[in-house]
Amino acid sequence: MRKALLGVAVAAAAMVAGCSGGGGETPKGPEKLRFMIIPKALDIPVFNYAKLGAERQAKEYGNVEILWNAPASADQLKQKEILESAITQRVDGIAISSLNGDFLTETINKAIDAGIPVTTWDSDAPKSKRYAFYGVDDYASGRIIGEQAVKLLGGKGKVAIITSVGASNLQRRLDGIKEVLATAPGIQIVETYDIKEDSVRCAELMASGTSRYPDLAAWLSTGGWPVFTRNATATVDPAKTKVISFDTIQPALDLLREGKVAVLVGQKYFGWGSESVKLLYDIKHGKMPSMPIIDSGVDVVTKENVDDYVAKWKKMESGS
Amino acid sequence: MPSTAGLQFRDVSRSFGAVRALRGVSFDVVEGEAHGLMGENGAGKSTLLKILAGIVQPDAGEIHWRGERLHLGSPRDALERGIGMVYQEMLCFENLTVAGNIFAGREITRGGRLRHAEMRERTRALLDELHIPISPDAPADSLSTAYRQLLQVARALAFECRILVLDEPTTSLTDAETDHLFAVLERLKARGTTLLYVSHRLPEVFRLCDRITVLRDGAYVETCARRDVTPDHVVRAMVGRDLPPRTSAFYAARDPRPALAVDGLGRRPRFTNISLTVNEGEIVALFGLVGSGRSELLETIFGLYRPEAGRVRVGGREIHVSSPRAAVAAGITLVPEERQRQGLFFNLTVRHNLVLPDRTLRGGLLVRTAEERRAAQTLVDTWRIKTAGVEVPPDSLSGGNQQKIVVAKWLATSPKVILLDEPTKGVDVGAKFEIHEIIRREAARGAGCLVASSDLPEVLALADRIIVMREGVIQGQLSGAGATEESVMRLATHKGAA
Amino acid sequence: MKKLWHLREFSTVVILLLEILFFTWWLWPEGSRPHPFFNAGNFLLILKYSSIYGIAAVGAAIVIISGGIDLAPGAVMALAGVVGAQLFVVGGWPLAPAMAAGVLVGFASGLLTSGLIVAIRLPPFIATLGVMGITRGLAFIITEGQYFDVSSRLVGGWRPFGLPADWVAPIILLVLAVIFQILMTAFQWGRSVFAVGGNETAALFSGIAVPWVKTSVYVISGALAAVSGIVLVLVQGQGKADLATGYELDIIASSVVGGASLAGGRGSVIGAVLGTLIFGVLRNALPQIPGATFYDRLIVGLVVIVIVVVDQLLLKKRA
Repeated sequence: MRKALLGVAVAAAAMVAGCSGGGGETPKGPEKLRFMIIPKALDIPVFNYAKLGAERQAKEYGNVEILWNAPASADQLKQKEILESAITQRVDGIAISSLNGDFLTETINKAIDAGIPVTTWDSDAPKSKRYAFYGVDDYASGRIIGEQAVKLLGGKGKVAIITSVGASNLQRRLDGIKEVLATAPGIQIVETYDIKEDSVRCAELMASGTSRYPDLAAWLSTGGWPVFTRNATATVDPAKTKVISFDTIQPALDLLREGKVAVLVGQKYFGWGSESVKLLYDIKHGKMPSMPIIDSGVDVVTKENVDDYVAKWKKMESGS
Repeated sequence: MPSTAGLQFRDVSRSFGAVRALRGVSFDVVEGEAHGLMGENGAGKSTLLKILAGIVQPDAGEIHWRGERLHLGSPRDALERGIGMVYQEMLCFENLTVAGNIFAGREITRGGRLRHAEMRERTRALLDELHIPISPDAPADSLSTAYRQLLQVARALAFECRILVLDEPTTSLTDAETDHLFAVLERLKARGTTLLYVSHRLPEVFRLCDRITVLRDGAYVETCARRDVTPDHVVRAMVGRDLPPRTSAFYAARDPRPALAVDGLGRRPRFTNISLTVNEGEIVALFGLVGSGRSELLETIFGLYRPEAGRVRVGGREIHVSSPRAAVAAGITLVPEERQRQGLFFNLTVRHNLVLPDRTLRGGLLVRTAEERRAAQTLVDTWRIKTAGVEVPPDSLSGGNQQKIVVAKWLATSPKVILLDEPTKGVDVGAKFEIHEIIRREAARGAGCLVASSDLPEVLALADRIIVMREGVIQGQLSGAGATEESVMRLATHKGAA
Repeated sequence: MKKLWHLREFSTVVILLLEILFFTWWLWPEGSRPHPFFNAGNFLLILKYSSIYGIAAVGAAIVIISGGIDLAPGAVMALAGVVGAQLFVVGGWPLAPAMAAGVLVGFASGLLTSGLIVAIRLPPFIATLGVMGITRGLAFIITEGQYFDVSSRLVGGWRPFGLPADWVAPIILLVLAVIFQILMTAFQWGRSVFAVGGNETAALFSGIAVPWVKTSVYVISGALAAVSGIVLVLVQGQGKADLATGYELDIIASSVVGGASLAGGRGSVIGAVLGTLIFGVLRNALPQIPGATFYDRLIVGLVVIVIVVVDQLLLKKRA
């Protein structure tokens, strides 16, 4: 019986392989450009907006296909594997947010040498030959957070910082925060928590931190983990402790409206996707980027301007 | 013959595959009497009980109670008809209390909620009535074996029980505990409960029962009134059959050299103080009924368990049997009782199965395929094992041939001592004789064979000497030449030497 | 000799080939573009990354054949990698002794596992679960959350024995696979592993030294996982405590897809390697289908279930 099964299977495969040239779903037409967009991981919600932005832009162009690929959760080696597969699979362009830019430098260069243009976004690989980086100026953004903290706390109080060790962009934001806080002698950093890009861990540590430091004046975060869910800020008393965080992905804005969060620093999420696609498209058509570092700028959102911000967001989401 | 009273079996038959466990059994149990049911292993007693308990359906025949036909499709049906069962294996819920055990599966509820108080009261009343001095709230695991047995009885009686069936209830009880149980049973009899008592123990059956029915080989033999017969008469009825005449000569001990000598070996509670010898070239049978401790004895000699006391000597040299590996190295092999489960590798080919013990014994790093294939083929030819070559897995072979593989592979190592546990259990008649031939051949080669068996004809056909075990102790020894079925059976069922 | 097409490995090869054929057809490029999947560079990539799982899968397959299970490979990989990396980067040891020390860690872990299973008689699932925690924990303690940058100390363009660094993993896998396949089929020891897995009682009754067999398979599994971990560190360039998290499931799945039965007594080293390749191809080719990235886990799960179910049915038919 097993022989029969095998025979049927082999025959089916032969027939299927015989009608090659039919391939995939793509209809015959002008050649499609395949761009692989690689975020840090599939389980970081922020990047879904980048995917949206990229796909919108691709639809506008009409002949661009987006391959969205990343490790299921932050795993540097797996991301490298994906980048390498992009090379062997001969894609037409790569835009990547690196978990570890230095680690990927050699591979990025290999891609470029093989004729595949590479740009980076959100998290750069500055030592590589990448054509351009689109994202926030991490250091400057970090400084903004630090400045907001100093302003809100009136120059004194205990603060705790949340970050993830490893990604260079987060490191630079951290540097920015610390530099500004150093100028305010009344402010004391009690602890810097490494939550390893895990929102759940962030909630845990914020809870234990709040009970450990009852007179904590502020939580500062280099990434959006405290505001990706409602749990993290649940243990925080907004009257005593201010939360200043990166990222404006919901429910962050709701939390801001409710007063649980004081300040949010938003990145250009859709832009990560759309601008990267634009850059790659231009490069493919011979137009090089005007400068290697493209500062996307940030949005500083507080209770005062949150409604404006939300209106603008809705417009981008609906694609107008 | 009373026509409407009592429990009547009419032509009850049941087969399991090719085995005919019951063949048209008919007899009557008078209501209110204590009726004994006796027979050897395999006589059909437990099948009959299972039918009565609703666990197994008969292929043919009927059971009547008080003139009415009983439909016992499930244990629940049997319970509802007032048939209570007390089994040999204690069905005890150790994590429940006494009351919990009595009512397990049949709890008193109102609207889905348990009514504990009422259950406790009923339990107390029942225990008092039976004069069993335990509390309904006592946890079951705190009870001694004897009380657990009584708990079984109480459980069977908790509901309107008209027929109480007991299957070897005293196997794990001491004399005193047996007395207590019997007192309870007498009281029940006085109240009019019908008792059906199955047991190997003649003294007990004779003590309790008014009449005795004997089954043999699945068929009804006779029913007699206790005061009309002697125990010997019952034994003869249990056993009497035509045995194939013994063909080989008995072992003549000219210059006996012990192949195996066991001294004071004990492992409670299975067996104590066992001393026996098996000489080179001799076949010794170890006869005993269920619970006699034969298998455990063999397994201990083979090193599967560590004995508490005693020594084992092979060929005069004491060996420290700590594991089967050591036993095999010393020249002892065991052909286990459940040959498929304990002796066959279904994931390996017939060849691997046949050569493994021998190759393991001789050591060596590499698998010598060509050599092994030849050796395996030789074994297949010698033993007439029907198989499609040696490179197939054993699942395609018949049960009998699978058994032959297990026996063959062991004998291929030319052991000095061969232990066999029920070697022809579950084997068809043809293969049975072949295996007996092979055992004789091995003995002729000079091995000492110790065969544990509960199959009386086999014992009488094979053995040069018969050792009878009962409840872990050696009851006596008979020489093969002079033994008869009755003499063996008598030793096996009576306490103390015959 | 068993007919070739009756071998379970044959079916696995067929499945692998069908898989490759399928993706080659599905991803056929338009016009004159080079084929994104069916090219030498891509296949070498698949081989390279599958090898890391593959080496540990060889050990896992042997344990499963013996009737046991090992949940610790991922954690052992991490600990061995971390120890090797630390000795190399911080301790300044030369590369070979540092790697050897890492492999020794695997041996030690295997001894611990077998001690728990054989001497203390813990069920393998529980014992290896515990060892998984212990080794992973030790890895975190040793590194204190930091990582050792191995690539910084490796001379640029590292060519072990004059070969490109990319080929190290596949070559090690090939060598080890061949060695262990031979050990399992041509040596008595291998046969006793199958015997113990097929029927432990019968093996005991046959005079096989069951405790020794069990000890040997867990030690091998630990050592091979350690080798995998060392290779992983060399390829990744970093020794980190959270390496190889969750890899044990892929490793076990590869062995099972390759023919190993969790009940014991069946399976092969070659099959485990083929199983790793089947998953490697899947991991490489799926993301090329737009929108399919998220289906990776789902498809892996379905593949395992389908193959095991078919396996069971075919096994039942033979009985």
